[in-house]
Amino acid sequence: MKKRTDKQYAKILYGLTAGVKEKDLTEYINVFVNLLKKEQKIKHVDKIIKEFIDLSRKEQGIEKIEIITANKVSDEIVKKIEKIFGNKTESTERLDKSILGGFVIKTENKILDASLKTQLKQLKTNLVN
Amino acid sequence: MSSINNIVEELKKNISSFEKNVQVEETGTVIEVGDGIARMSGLSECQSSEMLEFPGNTFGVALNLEEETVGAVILGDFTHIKEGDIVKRTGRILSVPVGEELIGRVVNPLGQAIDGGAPIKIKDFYPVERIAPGVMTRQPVSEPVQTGIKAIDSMIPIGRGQRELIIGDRQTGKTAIAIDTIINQKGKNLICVYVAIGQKESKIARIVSRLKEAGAMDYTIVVNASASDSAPLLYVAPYAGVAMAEYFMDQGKDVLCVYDDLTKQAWAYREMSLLLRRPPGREAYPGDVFYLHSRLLERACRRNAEHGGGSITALPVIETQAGDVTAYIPTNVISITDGQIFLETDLFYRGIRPALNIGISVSRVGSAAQLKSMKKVAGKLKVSMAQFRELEAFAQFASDLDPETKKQLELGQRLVEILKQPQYSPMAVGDQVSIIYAVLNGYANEAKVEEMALWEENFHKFMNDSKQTLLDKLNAGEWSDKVEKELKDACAEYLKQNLK
Repeated sequence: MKKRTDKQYAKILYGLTAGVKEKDLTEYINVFVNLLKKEQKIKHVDKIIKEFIDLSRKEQGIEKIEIITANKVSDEIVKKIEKIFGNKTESTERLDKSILGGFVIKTENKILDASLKTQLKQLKTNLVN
Repeated sequence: MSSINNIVEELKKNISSFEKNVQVEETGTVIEVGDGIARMSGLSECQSSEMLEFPGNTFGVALNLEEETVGAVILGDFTHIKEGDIVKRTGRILSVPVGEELIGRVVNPLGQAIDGGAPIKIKDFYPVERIAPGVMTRQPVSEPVQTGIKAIDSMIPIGRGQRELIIGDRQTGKTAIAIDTIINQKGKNLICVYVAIGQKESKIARIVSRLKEAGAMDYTIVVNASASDSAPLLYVAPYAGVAMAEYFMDQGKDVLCVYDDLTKQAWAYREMSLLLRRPPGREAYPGDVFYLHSRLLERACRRNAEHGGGSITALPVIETQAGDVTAYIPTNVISITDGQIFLETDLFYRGIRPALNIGISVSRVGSAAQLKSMKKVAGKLKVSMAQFRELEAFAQFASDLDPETKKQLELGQRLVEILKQPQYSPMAVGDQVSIIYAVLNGYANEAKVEEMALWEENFHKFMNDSKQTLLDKLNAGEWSDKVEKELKDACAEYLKQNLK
């Protein structure tokens, strides 16, 4: 049989525990851990947990974004940005002087680049051609 | 002073007219990298064979689109790429710059100059992978490609739009035939693309300087993916070359494409496929190695006038191991092409150069494009050579032969002598026709077999000095009783002069 990936284990765990009452949870987790033991995947457990968290976030419609700015921005602006990406947005902030100004927003597989650095770069290519 | 102000004004205007636009880019993360292969997560909308941008201005091509990951090959250096790097989609299918500017240049498979000259600035791009022209756009070959090599032009003629395989062991003169053909295209309205795959840089340098010397770089593009380049570049090189050729074909021009050699491209593709974990098949090649070559060679074609005309002639080269044509790649390519030129080590060391094995070399469509004058003499030449081969084996056992057989044998030996030709000395059709005619019709019977080379040289000198109009006629393909008589008289005249 083909080996299962960590993501697939996370999916199994998600399917197993979805809609389960809190008191039964231990039992289900036991089943899952036994599966991991049987397939010798215990050492992957950290990665599986991480995948599981990502997966359940996605299932619940929580968007994770990273906001990169050159200078510290107020919470108000951060809130505004979060709202654009939907109601359930979790954001982390990071400072990066090299982008000069503006901001860059990273979602799971998209980059929204409104930094001064990129715009200067575009201006340069426009002028050269 | 005003000019400075003008410049400043212009610059200001340019800058003020610049519109900011914020890009949304789709990205992925590298999860695995090594041996020129990268595996990425994300990139959920990625297309097959789309270009991906890695950090450090490096590009890759997405080849495997899987459920969770995308497998890509990296074009060029990959040592700076590490796990966790961000990869961007470009939205472009792998394409190469095309245009007149490329002629006379040596470029890599991405169309960047590698001859030390100025960077090539081109706006036009053609996709590297393109579907070959369909049935309704094609027409049969009708014009010849003159290789300038007597043995090929007479017995294995090549037409514009044909695919003729050059196959043989290492060191049998495969590249020499291709290069001679390119050199002979001077003034013949044929643009040449020489694609070198996995060759030594020194060999390429030698070829380019040879082409320059012969003035052949005026109509030639050299695409070079050398032995030190990574496998993906070797794999892409022939497709890049044919894309550059298609640009000229789309303008109704005729193009000649040499792929030297496809064995190495198949090796590169095997390496890539194994690293991408595609299942191996026979000789560890992936299952689609036939398609690898068929889709390339199918792009050689002769288009009819309604669809713009133009043609691409393909001369693929395959290297065999110890003459084994039954290996996987040689059989594949033999079955795809319209004929093959077979070169043999034995013949090469016996001094028969080009080392053509005429018995098993064929051209399936080229005779339709042969000039009339050449066709007339070539028919008889083929028969005589076939008879000679048969008798040659037989004659080894017989001590005394009847005069008829002996005559046949001697004629054959003389023909073999005149079909020899040194490298880099292509010959015009008229010269070829006249020498073959002279020998076939017994005008050289008095000369010794060992002295045929000298006899031939003098003959050409005589013809070029005093019979230029006749040669022009033959060059144009004219053939009638009158022309034949003129040729006969010329041969007789030479003989008379030679005897004195």
